[in-house]
Amino acid sequence: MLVEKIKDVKPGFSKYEVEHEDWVFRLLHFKSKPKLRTPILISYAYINRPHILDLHEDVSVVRYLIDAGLDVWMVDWGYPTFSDRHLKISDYIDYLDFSVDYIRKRKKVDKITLHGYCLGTTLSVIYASIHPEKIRNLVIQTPPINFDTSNTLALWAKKIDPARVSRALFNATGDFLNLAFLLVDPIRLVVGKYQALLDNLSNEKFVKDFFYMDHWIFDSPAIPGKVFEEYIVRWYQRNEIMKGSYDVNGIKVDFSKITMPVLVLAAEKDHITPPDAVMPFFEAIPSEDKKILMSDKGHIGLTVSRSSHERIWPEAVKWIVERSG
Amino acid sequence: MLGEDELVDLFRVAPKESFELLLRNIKIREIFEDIYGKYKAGIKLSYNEDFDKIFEELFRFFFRPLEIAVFGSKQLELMFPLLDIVRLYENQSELLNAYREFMTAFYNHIRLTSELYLRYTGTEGGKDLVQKFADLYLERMRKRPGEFFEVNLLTETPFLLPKVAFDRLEKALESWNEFSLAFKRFREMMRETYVKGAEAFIKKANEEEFKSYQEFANAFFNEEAKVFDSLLKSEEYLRTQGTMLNCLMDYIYNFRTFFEEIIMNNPFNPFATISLMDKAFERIQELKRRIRELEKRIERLEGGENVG
Repeated sequence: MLVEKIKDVKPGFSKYEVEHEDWVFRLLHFKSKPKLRTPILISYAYINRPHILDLHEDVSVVRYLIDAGLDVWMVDWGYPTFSDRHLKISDYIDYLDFSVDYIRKRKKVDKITLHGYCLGTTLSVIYASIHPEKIRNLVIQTPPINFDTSNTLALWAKKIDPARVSRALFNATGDFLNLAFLLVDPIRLVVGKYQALLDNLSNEKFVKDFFYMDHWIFDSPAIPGKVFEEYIVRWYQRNEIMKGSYDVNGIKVDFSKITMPVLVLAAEKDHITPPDAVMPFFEAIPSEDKKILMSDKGHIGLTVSRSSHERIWPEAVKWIVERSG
Repeated sequence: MLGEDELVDLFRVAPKESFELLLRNIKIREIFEDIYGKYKAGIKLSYNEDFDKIFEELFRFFFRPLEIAVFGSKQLELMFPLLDIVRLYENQSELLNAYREFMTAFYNHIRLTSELYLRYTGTEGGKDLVQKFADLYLERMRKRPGEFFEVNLLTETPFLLPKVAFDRLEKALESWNEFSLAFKRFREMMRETYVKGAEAFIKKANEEEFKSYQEFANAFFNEEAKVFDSLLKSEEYLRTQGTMLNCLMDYIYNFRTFFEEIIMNNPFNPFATISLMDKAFERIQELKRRIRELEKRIERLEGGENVG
């Protein structure tokens, strides 16, 4: 029975404590016995839930980091509701700053490792350029920094008026975003994927993996209206970060400040943030200790595919560990 | 493939989107297996209603939310029947008049009953006091209807509601018209592209031999994926999708604010509208930022820093 196979499927493997809550935002601390001095803070994308990095035991990046002796923290951007519509990107950066300071104080360290995922990467790069003195290493995974790319999603984002969405719906709702993400590749995501499930109904592992993923995919928080407006107009349409004109409360994002070690994790078949979305940034930053690890998978495959966990993640974690003593 | 009992349980444990897509794909599989059966029997493939059914299953998921957004307005119309709003005022007036007549009749009934009782039980002095009160009350009742009930209600529609409400309604209707046209074109483009992909597959299937259902199905989905990849980046698609989204959002906004204006124009309205709530949350958020800024300044002061 299919139901029997999936009834206990729920994304999220590692145990954590909520160290701090600020209305919709939370700072999570994963339970572990760290051996390395430099803590790592994961800044997840505010467009989805962070479970993808800790989907289940076999493909948990969080578990991998913990097992390597790292002290792992994560910002959970939560489920914004109607009352959060007026949050701004600067509020996200501010909470990131609060979290970094909180960890520095708690762990008695000057600097931490900041690990951004997808849109959490964009926040991390902005933050690292404003507060380079607090960041020891910058790890950016499937990073959208250069938004002038030719993938379908980027082309669509350039043609929409986010202010009208925000005015009508208040927030860009999870259903609205899901529809867009599926429509980007309707045949593969709406038919191909589910036909593959029908072919593999008797394969318990396949079925479980499938539903772990679908639970995560469709557990979509809304993006606060004003964040959506800024993200689409200033990042996608004007490409301000890449052009050096983006600022947070008057402080310009300046790539010349990115001198700390930088690790980029990108995916060749990424249709959301293709390698082009990070290459110009990688070339522009002055860091002398920078490296790219390229997966042959897609946006999500980089995180959860077994091949990535055999090839990419051991190398990535080794890189982080070597710089976390 | 999946039993009926299992479907109900599956709905409880799976995300609703996964559940719906799974059901639609089971249907697609059934139709496509049927097509494959005919193909294996040596029947030449041609575009027919089976391919149309697959199209409907495939794109229902995308079309429905757009339709729901529009039908959502119907819910509001039930709460605030547009054409009946003016009649509502008139009906209220009639109701009040009927109530006045009822009260007058009721008063007369009480007065006559009281007089009847007084004849049997009352004393002379008592009769005077009761009569005095009755006369005073009658006088008061005579005045009251004149003060409160004989009001000429406005029924000229264009002047009944605030101007801005009509502006909103007109804009909503304009957006709705534009949305309808763009949505129609959107559906057409989806359909034309799908048919193009299906025809390319049919040509291939009639020229080549697919040894298994899997190969047959993959070839179909690959052809479809190819044509959709190109459609979704095309200028016309981008323009149509943009117009559709903008007009739908404008329609939702204008229609909602039209109702808000009506509500706010009603002095008996006991509700804050969603726009007022939004404004309040904006101010709260702004205050929160100021508090955070003050906290930071205090922290810096405590650290001995000159905060200027």
